[in-house]
Amino acid sequence: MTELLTMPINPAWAILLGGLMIAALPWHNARKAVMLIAPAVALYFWLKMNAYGDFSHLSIDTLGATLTTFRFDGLSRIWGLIFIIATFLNAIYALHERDRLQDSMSVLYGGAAMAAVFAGDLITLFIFWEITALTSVFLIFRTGTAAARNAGLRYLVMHIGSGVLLLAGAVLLHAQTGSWAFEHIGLEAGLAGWLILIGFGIKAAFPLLHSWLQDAYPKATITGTVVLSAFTTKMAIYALARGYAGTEILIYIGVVMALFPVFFAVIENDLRRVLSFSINNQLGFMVVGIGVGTTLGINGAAAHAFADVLFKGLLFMSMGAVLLRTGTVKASELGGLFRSMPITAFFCLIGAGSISAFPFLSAFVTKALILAAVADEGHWIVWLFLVFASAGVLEHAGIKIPYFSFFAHDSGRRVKEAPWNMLLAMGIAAFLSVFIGVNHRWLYALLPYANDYEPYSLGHIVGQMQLLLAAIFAFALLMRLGWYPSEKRMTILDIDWFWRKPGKALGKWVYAIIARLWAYSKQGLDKSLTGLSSMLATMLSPDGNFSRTIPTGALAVWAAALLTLALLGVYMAG
Amino acid sequence: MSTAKKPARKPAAGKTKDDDIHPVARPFMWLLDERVRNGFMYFIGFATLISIAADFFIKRHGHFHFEEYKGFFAFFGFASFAFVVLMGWPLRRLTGRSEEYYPESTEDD
Repeated sequence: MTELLTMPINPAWAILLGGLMIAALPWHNARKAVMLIAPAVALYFWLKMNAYGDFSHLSIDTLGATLTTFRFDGLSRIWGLIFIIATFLNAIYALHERDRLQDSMSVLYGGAAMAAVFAGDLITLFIFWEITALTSVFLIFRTGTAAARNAGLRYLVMHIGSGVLLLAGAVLLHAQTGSWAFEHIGLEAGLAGWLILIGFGIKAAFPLLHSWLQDAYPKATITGTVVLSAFTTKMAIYALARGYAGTEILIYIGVVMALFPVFFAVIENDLRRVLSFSINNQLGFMVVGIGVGTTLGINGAAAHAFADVLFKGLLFMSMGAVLLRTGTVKASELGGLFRSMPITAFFCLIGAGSISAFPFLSAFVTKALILAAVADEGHWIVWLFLVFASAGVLEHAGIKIPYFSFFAHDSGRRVKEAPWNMLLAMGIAAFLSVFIGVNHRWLYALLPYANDYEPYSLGHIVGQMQLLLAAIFAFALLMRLGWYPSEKRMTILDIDWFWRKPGKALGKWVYAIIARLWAYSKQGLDKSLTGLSSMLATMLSPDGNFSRTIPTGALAVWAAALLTLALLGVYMAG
Repeated sequence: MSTAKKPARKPAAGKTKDDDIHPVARPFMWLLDERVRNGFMYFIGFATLISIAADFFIKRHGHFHFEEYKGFFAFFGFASFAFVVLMGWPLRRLTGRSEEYYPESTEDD
């Protein structure tokens, strides 16, 4: 009994079990209670494990392989904690909803992401990697529109494909090393390394592999988008940090990720899609940190992932509240909502300030780690690009989101403030964003490596305030001059245009060609079969050739000729 | 199922829009005053100048020598922000299409 109490338990199982219970329970209140209790239990197990320290011995032998289903170390610890917090906040945010499927899938999704983070081998990782895809897609389907259904299917294809690449790479790697262990992989592993990197890259929304994010997230349900923003991409960042730390190509991939979304976010009208671009941009910073690969770089990626789950979740929550109350998140249709939803506006401003890295808010102390890691390695061009991208973040997430929804011109909409549970979830996320910004040592103590970086120097604060104030001034000036692109209802094309338009047309063309070839070959086959059957009938039917009476003399001549031919054949062969 | 409510509540008959202002928002309505909004640009411009002036009184230690130029971050922030915004015009011309560009967006389930 004592052994049972002290036995290490994977916190993910509490969440996964909770998700299954929610799927089975017929009572709404009981389901909501489980949604809240499951992360609390997981937190208890996490705290117990944290007291133990590093742990990676929970292994099972199955199918001829040793699988490490639970590895709790410096890297997985911080991801596990933020996933527990996110699951809890999501549960509060969704308290007003009566949707058993969505509740169970969102909890199972969070549990699967957590189990993937705690996986010590590639098979366990693969299993939970795929479960995250299969559970999360319901959060998109559940919107119920044709657009959501199609986006969900595209999302599923990409994510299942990501898992298939991971599995293929894992099998190749196992053939090379004889081990399924999920440790550093790197590109030195050859094809296996590339396959797994692309598999991770799909979920991390690498450039050209990113469109599922901007396609699907804005079409998910109100709570679905909030849930989705927390897990998939951060799980992929964890996997990259575990398997590809110090892989130089990630620095350049990360820079492109940080840069290109800021341009698209300026002209995007759907504010949840703006935030999806913002996810891509923030992931870019993390990928750069992993690419640098120093202890400071990995710490930066981990810290920024932790902070991002909170402030990005907060921003998505505020836009979800706006969508719930007004029925839209189109910037062209909003404005002036501060009058009706001041508390939501306040929390949104905290999220906006946090992502923009204002001093005493979370990203100020997390992004600084990544920039310092880049600078330490002398990558001055990369550093400049990241500072440039920081100004871009301020534009779309720091200003555009709160300004066009809560301020700007008055749209005349007078709505109710968000439900109390949404405000509570936003309030906790806002509090944690401020808490991290002020008590950065608390977060730094959770990072994978010892960290003595000090973000609060006078020079850093002044430099950051210069950047932010001048950028806000640029916004005010451009608005005054009328040079800021006005918000318009339109579709902004992305890389997925290639498969949604010409790709679809090509698919239709190929299908038509195959259909015609099939019809043609079927026609030819039918003709051949008809000919064959009539020939057989001619030969074998009661009136056929074989039934005819052949004169004995002619038969003997034919038999002699055939025997002669056979004899000649044998003679030649001999 | 989670769906947004439609449409937004408009003021009831006999009520003005301002009657529906949330009590928490009322003390801050001066922020929405036209004069305050117009003065915002000057206020932020002034704050930016102060932050640049601070460079003359404190020594910023950067990893790169260009970081230590007076007002470097202000200049870089202004230029970056303006570039990102102004690039929106050609980018929208290049990638912007009607809302119904993808047929699925108009399909009604």
